[in-house]
Amino acid sequence: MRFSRWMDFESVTWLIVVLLLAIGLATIYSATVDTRGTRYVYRQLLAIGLGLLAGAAFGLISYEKWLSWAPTLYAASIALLVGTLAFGHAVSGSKSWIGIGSFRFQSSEMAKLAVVLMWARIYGGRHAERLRTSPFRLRDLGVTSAIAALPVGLILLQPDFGTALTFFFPLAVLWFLLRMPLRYWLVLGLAALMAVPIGWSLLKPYQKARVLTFLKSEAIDPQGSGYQVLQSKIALGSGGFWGKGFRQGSQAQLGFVPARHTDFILASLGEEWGFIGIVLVFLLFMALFTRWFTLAGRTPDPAGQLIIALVLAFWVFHFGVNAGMAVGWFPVTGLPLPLVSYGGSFLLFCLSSVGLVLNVYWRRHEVLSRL
Amino acid sequence: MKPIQPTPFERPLRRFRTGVLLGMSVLLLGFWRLQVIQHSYYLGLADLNRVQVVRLHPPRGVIVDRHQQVLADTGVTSVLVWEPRRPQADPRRVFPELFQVLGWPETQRASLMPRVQRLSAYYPERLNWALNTVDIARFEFYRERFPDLVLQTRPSRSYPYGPITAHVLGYVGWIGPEDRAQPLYADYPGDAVVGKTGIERYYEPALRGEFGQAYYVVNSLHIPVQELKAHRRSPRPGNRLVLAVDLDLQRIAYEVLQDVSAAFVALDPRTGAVRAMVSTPSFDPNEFVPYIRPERWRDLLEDPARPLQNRVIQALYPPGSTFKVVMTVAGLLEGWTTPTQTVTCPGYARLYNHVFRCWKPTGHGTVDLHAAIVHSCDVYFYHLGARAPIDTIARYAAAFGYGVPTGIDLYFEKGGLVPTTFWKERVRGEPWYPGETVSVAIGQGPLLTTPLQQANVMAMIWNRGVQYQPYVVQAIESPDGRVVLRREPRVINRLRAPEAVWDFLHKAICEVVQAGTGRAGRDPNVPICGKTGTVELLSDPEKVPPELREKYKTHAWFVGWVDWPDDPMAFALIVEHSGHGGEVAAPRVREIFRRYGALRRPPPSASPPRSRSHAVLPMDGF
Repeated sequence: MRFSRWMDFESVTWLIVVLLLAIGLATIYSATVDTRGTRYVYRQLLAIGLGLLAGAAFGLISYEKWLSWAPTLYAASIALLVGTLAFGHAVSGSKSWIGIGSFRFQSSEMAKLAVVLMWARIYGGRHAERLRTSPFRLRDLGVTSAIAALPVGLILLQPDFGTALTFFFPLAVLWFLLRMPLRYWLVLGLAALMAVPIGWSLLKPYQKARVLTFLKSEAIDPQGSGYQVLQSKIALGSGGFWGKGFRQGSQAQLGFVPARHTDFILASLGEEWGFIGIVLVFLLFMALFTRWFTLAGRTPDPAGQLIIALVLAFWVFHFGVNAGMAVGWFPVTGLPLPLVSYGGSFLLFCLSSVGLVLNVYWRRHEVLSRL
Repeated sequence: MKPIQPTPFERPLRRFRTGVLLGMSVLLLGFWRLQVIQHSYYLGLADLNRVQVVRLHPPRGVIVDRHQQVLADTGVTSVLVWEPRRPQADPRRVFPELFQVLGWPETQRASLMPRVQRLSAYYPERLNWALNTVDIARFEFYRERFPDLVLQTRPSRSYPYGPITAHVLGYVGWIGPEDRAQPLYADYPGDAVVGKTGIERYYEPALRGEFGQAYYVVNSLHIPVQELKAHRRSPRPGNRLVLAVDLDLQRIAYEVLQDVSAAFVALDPRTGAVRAMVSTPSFDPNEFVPYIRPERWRDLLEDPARPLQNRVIQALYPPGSTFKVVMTVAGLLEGWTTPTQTVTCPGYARLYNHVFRCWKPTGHGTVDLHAAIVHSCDVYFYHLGARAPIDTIARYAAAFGYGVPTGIDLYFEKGGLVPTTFWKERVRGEPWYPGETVSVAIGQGPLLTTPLQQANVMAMIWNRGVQYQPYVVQAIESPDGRVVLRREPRVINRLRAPEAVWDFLHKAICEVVQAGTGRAGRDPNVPICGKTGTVELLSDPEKVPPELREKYKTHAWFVGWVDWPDDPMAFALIVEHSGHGGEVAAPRVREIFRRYGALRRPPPSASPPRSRSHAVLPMDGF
């Protein structure tokens, strides 16, 4: 068994992950070497190393163990979020970083994993069996929402609107997987509509500006948040089909692209590598996601399927919003691109979740033999 | 082995997968649209984004006098520009720090803060704050602390003779909104320096040169990282102006007159070339470069002595007795009098039931026309005026150039006033009374003129009936020394009269200085001829309390010519509120020409223009 597990290493996922990390490193290098030297590249390499360690922990310790530790992990991440609120570092207006020495960590990333594991633990077991025969109940809506609500509430208090938003899509995916009836969707949709004015009043001015800019046009406020989107579009558009070549992108090189190595890395990439480069990145992500759907289909364990599906939901949301932001389809939310964007905490989450996905796949036979 | 039951999630998982792949494909279409379909549009934007065009200011043309002495020079100055490079740049935080660094006193800071409050966080603005060398050195030392402030070097203007040449040269300043509305300034950048008055304004198109352009590749903070040298267009310096003015005469006249309110102009009667144009009190035009401090500007504007006014062309005075020469020409040509006709002057004349007093209460006795001019007998001209229709007098006055601007190459010139019956009815709504003509005959009444017109009247008499348009700029030369334009004399008035009339006038006017009212202007070494004039501001000074008499004291005129064969000059001098023309104005004219005559150089030979095919500049006045 042990031997066949190593043979079944899941080389497709590994290959894609390594390629995306490499593309990310190259783009980060190109976008920052002029102004900041190789500092960002080395820090990203360090984050990859740490991420691999975390990934090993989440990949090698059986996911069933992780599921059994889920409540502890969840409690720990809640504690960490509270601690962040109390002792965190404020970066551009929001307290979302917690630091140990010179090392800083965005505590919301750990909460994502904990929430995934909590959801999978509760609805991958006997509830999955129940839902096979009996319909989705209001209680299920309550339980699934409550698990997300606690960290989301704490993250909103930081306040980090973008990160809080990332929990809603996996939650919806979970409801979809649990076959929530249509009437719930309708009622929830209606409630969401009614919540818009209230939510609006809670937004910070810069967030309101971002949403307004998105709804109107970048021409209104060329120096504000519309400026960022416009610069991103100029970088991408001027890159054209073939791109301007490695380190030849004037927009990214001269610093016009905002957050060119983090949130708008696709703009830097698209300028220098053109539409061809964007297609490559899309194909890699599509292949990765398709592969993970396949992996999910291969495990007989509902809990394992939920883990893969919910991890996928987080990744898809990040990817979709990040790419949509780069072309100006979505408001600027500050969500990084998985594996490619510079940023240690999110990379830690990404590689940990890769570990979990592979974990589920690797242990499918153990689970199967128990059935 | 029992059959494996499918999990409940398999069908929704398949749908989820389909949705994800569909969504990603749609997103990819967004990139396709941006990067392939709209590529050329965004490529254009990208070039705009990274290339910044900088206007290069040309050095302004130099202005020299007729002996090539520099009157207005080009120097270099530094100005501070607010260029917010960061979206969060806050002027209210940046400037207090700047003032701290520059060590400016608290009062100055407080007065500058309102200007700072008005600055935008997004748009660059020029700050018209003069920085001295210490300020500049301090700013450079702490430059990194002020990424949103830039020092720009600019060609600047300096006037080495300051107040001496202030009114004729004018001054330059930042282009204002009222300037920008004119088509002439359409392509000027908003921070250009333009001529505001005087020659600087009139010859702006010749002096400005051509703006150049440099293209810089900039980063997102608009910091230039590289210049696209192949695209650089260097600025072309402005043209050089050669004035007809003689700096020595100008300087001496200013020195002689700087203690009074006066206007002096001298011109070449053969061409109209202005040799000197002095208006006192004056101001220092260097204070205006590149901008004048508001409180200083207010002081100059509100000064009752009106130092900003160019009295030579902008102040209006009655001509007083100097008008008698025009009356003489009219009287001889119209037959109102003859050279031999005499009048007995008892010190007054009773005409139209009114007593008109002569300036000399004891009277001149029996005088002919020659003696009436030489001693400026009012009574003789009262009787002349009683015989003359006002509209005929007006025709002669107009023939000498009264009543309309001469068209000198300076803006804001006034034309004065020549009264007619038509004018009286239109403006005052009353008929002309014959008694008024009596006053006009001695240059009083509604008659108004400028010192420039007065000098040109004398030039016309010297010329025996030909009057030229006065001008200041003799030639325009390109920066490399080619003559672009040379001023040709232009006749503006011509009066045909028998030579005997001109001979009579010349003799009488020269006799004024030798034996008449202008004796104080006589100098053994300078051939001065001239007519005195005294402008009464009160009809009856005896009725006015003594403390007001000083304020309404008479203006003193002395107008005439200096008959240097190689360099004749017609001149006019008025000294405001000073006394009689013969006692105040004539000695000062003598002083001016005595001192100038002592160091007079031969006039520069007028070399024929080398080329006139370059006359492409859009010029007013030519």
